[in-house]
Amino acid sequence: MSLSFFGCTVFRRMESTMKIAGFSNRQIISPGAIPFINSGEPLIQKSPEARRMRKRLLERPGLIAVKRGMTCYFDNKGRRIPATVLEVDQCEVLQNKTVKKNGYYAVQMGAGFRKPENETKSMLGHYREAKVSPKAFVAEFEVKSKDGLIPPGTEIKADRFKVGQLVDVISHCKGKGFAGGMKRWGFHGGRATHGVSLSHRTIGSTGQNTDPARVFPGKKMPGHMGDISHTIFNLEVLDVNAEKGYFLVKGCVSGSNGSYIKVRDALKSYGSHIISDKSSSGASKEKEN
Amino acid sequence: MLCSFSSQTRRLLLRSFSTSRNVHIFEQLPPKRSGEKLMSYVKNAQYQRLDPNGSKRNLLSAENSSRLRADDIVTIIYKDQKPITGQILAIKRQGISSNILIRNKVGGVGVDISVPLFHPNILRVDIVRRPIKYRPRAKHYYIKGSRLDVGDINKTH
Repeated sequence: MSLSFFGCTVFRRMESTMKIAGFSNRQIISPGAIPFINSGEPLIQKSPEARRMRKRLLERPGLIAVKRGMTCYFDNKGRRIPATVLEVDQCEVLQNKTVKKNGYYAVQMGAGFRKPENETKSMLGHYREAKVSPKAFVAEFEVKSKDGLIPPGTEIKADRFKVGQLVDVISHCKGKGFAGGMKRWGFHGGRATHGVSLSHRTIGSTGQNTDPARVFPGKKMPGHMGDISHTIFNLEVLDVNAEKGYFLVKGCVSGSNGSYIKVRDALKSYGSHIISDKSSSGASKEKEN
Repeated sequence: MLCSFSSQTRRLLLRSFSTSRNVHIFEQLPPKRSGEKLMSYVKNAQYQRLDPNGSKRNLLSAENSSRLRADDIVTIIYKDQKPITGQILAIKRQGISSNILIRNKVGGVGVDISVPLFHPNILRVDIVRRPIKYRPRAKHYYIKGSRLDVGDINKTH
């Protein structure tokens, strides 16, 4: 009853008329004869709660890993596959965020080690509450419900992922500095000869003349390239070794060696076996929390 | 520095700072692989799995005087397919993904094959013939299509 999405409302009212005492199911009831229907509060589309429910969220958090380099992996069929080595070291849960307190469910984790001398006092207190060592990198993983939360202080190991499953890898790609249009966007540039002067690598025209009389927003131009967060979807996990603290994913991962990256279960369709399909009834339960 | 064990079996360090206040800090988790760097561990683990007796590593080792070199004629013995023979053009040393590039003429057409040396289906590499004098280069790409090019090696050997 508490659901009041557009399509459902009418249907549910009809359903509820049948339960009214004194009327049989076969009887046609005038709408005016029903004094009051107790429908739940409508969910405002712009509310944080509705926003969160619209999001496609995973049931469990991922982990923080360190990119260590690349190698190759020979699989059972004899194929040689390029693989990235990801280390899971000192990855521990720091805090849980809840709807009641923060407006969303998330698991905050940290990885690596930072010297306490180099850490602020407020963060040291944060680590002490979770009973973990100071971390070099802290990140959050938003989850669907409170079932995905993990108690603070828990160590996350590499065997969270299984061999053969698909993961998404979120990392900062390498910065390339101020780059021209050819490097940044793959423009073809100008001609090398035939009287071309000083404009071999320029971007050329940026638009029309009088009619718009401006350059449209988002025009591809020279500028700072790289050093932005980049997600690579659906990388296969080739090998997992929790005891030694690493796992291999197929292909390459953005960013330099030694950089901290977020790894989670695949969010898109290929990972649908990991995302739960029961999305219909979760809304009312979560609202109580 | 004072040390005492907390309830969670994690050692709690009490460190004093210049601000003269004690800050509770927990020790980090024990190091995995007894502190060995991950890439070197992974490399060694792969060597143990794919080359347990070290024979393939020995073929590439710079300390081995009878190592593989460009200009050698080798036969590669496979577990699941016929052996292939050819002259080495280049050796690419990159750990477990090391390659050798071998060249041969098949029906008058030059064929280059890149062989991943540590592939589990490769049993061994036999050196068929070594030259009297090596060419003064490590990579012999330049012999392709020239008068120095390889002949039909299967016929001559």
